[in-house]
Amino acid sequence: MSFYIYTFILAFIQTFLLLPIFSGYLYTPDFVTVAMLYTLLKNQDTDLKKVLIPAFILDLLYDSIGLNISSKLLVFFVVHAFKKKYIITTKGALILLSLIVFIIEHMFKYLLFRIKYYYPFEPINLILCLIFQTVAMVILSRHIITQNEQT
Amino acid sequence: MKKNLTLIFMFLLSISLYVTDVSSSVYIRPITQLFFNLLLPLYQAKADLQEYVEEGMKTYIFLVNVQKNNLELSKKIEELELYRSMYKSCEISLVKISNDLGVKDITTQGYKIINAKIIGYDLKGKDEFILINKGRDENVKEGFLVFSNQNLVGVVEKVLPMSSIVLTVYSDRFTLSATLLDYSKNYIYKGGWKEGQLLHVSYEDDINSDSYVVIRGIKEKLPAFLIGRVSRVDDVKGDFFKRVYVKPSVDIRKLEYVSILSSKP
Repeated sequence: MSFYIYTFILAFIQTFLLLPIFSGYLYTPDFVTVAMLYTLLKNQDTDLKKVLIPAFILDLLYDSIGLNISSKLLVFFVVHAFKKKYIITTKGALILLSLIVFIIEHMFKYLLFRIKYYYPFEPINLILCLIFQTVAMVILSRHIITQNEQT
Repeated sequence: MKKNLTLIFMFLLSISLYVTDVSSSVYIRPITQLFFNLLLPLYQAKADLQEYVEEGMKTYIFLVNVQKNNLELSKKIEELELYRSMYKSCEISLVKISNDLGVKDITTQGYKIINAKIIGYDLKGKDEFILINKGRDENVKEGFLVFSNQNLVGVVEKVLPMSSIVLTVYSDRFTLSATLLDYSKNYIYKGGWKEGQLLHVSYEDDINSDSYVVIRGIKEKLPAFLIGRVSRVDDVKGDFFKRVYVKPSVDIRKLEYVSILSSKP
């Protein structure tokens, strides 16, 4: 239950406070994805509801039904495929995985958005957004690495 | 396997939901409308807060810029203060020299400067006049000199209640007593587009191209504002005088603000 409360708070902060600061929701740091990725890496088997419900809330707040649900499901696929083959034991691996996942998610969202609307691609804003998300991920998942190292 | 298929189905469904914009279709609209009505207060609160945060950010950025500008301006003021003190020492030396030589003390102080914003330009594009936002309300009078930096812009031609028309150095109707920095003889400068002229320059006068043309007050001493530079000197057969063309140094359309000197030439 605490996961849902955290993600709801994050979704609200993201849409209410971060969205006006960053240029458009395509380049707003997605801390819901960070929380989701953290949960996916931490637990062996994750409930799909933990992906769908926060994504749906985000879609409701952004008024973009389908965009966040599909991108979060894509993240779910990628992380599951990764977890089947590898175990994260170093900080470098975690940063790399987080970056790959975030880039895939952002590019997917951008491409899906571009099917319907035009918005210029802003690499600087994207990099800024990725940095924020990766830093948040590193701070959050510090004990995942120590846990994996012990196993 | 079944789980994976469900996931793929959900993934494709969510993409199609987004791409087809199914929420606005005729059959689903009542449901989405109901949903929207329920969430309306939340959306309104979101819009209000977003606006508030956006304005806060803009104000913050604006204030940061203002602070930077203030720093730059204070540096410039420091520099100007230095120049002012240097100018003062020069003035003192000049007064001493003029006293030693028995030259009558000339004071350039006592002028009042009025700053004005340009609110209109010449429609014809010849820059013959400009309209400024100071007029009778600021005690502007006809004949006052208008300048920018060290360059002469023109003379106040017509004073209106809250604005004035300034005849510029590009106008055919503009005439003013002028002299050259490197040749001390008095002439009459007549304005023109794109070049003005120095009138009544005799063949004996040694005037070169690129010489600086400045104003010269008759009744009282005025700051030597720059009118322009001599662009060419033509000899005309059968005429008593040379034709000396002057390119005005002020670019009217680059100006936004001008200063008015409360004294007539």
